[in-house]
Amino acid sequence: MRQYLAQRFLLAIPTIFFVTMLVFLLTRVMPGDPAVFLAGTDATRSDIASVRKEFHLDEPVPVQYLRWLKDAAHGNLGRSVRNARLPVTTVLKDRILATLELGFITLLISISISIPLGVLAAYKRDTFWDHASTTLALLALSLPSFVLAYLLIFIVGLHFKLLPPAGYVPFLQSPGTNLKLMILPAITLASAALAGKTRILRTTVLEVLNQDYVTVARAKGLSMRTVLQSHVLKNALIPFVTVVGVQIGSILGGAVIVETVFGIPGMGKLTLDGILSRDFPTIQGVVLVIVLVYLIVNTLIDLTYAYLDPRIRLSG
Amino acid sequence: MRILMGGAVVLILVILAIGAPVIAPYSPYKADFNGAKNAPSWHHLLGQDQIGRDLLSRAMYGARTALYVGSLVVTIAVTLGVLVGTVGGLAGGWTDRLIGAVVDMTFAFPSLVLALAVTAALGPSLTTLMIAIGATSWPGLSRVVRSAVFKTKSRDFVTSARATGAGPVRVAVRHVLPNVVPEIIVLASLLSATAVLAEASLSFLGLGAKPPTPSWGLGVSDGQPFLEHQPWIALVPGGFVFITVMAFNVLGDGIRDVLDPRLRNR
Repeated sequence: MRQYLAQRFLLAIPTIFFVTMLVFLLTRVMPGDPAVFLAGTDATRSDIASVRKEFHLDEPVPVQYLRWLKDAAHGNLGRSVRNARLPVTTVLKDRILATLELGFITLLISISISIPLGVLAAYKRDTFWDHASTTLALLALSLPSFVLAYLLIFIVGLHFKLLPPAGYVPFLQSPGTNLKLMILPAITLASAALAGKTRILRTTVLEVLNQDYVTVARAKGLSMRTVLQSHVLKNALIPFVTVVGVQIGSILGGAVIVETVFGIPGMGKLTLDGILSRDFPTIQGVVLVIVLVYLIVNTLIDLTYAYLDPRIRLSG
Repeated sequence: MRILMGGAVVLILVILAIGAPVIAPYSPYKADFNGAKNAPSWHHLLGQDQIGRDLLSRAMYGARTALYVGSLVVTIAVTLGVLVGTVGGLAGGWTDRLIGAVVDMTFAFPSLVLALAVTAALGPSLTTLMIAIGATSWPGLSRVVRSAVFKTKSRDFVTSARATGAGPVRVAVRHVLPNVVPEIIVLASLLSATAVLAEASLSFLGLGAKPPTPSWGLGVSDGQPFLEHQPWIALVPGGFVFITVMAFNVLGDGIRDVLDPRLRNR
């Protein structure tokens, strides 16, 4: 286990380098002089020069990157170009909780819907239930999140007034209101993530149902319910968990749209604003956090494999 | 059955897109301020937008934008994916491992965020958008191609081709790749769905098509302020995205079922 974690850690390093370097390059090849853009429309030549110096834009790009790396290692991600030039870490700290909460509720919703759907589709194969659950997953996959978001705002929020249509309140300030505001955005994000999980679960449950040990368990007189719960599901969960891991990235990406539509001040909205206003220190910070979150979650997921199937030993 | 349904809808969309200048009842750009925000009627079957443009005509021209972006993205992604996957699969060894590592890293990153970054760097435009989406959607394809190539390359007919003196390029093009074509077609169809969705999403965020280009994603964001009283302005373009993405998904699944009968009865 320890060896596995060490190896995982070693593999994470080139990933972080690769991605941050790529983003660094991208933000530096933007057309036009960033300093001119940052200094504003009525800046004098000396204003531009001081901005250039302030953000070290007068140095060669590799030097800038190394400086950024060195600072990042000390927990300093530079200052945001917008947001009153606050340190990027401060800006991130404010935003990260909203997105983590959104992502967590999204996973909770999509997992708790896709497990019964997938098992039902497999167990009642080629019946109405199978077709209904497969179709539902397909509909959820094909509906663009910004359309679903507006439909939910329109129908649930404005027409029936069941939930507030949009907005954000920090959890610690008012947990009840916060959760109410999070439901619609989380449903929107969960919808796209539903199909992949339902589909993989249906396929693997079908495979497991054909195994001898399932027949034996049935022959022993165990009810189908018990067999499904303790024999089938546990063995079908590994590919399912893999899909969950792959989806973390798309959930983080989808948060850009959902947070924009629902007005949630999270990482997604920060990414979009950062890009639109060329706030490159913020873009770099956000990207670093996203990569870290992705790597951590996927390490946790690998650890789950060992728990689900003791035969899998996490070694080299 | 599913191939027919998905294929028929895709075909209709292609006809709408190509034939838009002939079929569309109005110009997609011509404003009609007297008819602004009018509900669907006999004159304007799907209603009019906030400045009175005909939503049906805009949707047809929007299909042009969506399918144009979609087909170019698929071309870029398939070319890259097949190239990288074949090289990795045939070469094996450290080349394969290096490629695998790059593919994993690209996978590790949310493609929408990467597309956003590329768009930010090169400036928002449809061309940038296509490069961005294409450049981020090849890894899945390359993985599939690689494993198929790996499986095929040890088969007897490949060995015998090699024995008769065929070089690696000839082996790849003439003997290995034709066996992978079915899987590529399935993935290309599913990728079309993703690409149409990505174009709509990025245009919706203001990072793709520029007004007044007819784009479904742009249409949804234009209609957003009128959602409560004139919902058709946003829902018409949104509905077209939904139908298109679904058609490509159904088509891809259908082809897969036909190619792999093992899955059909499961």
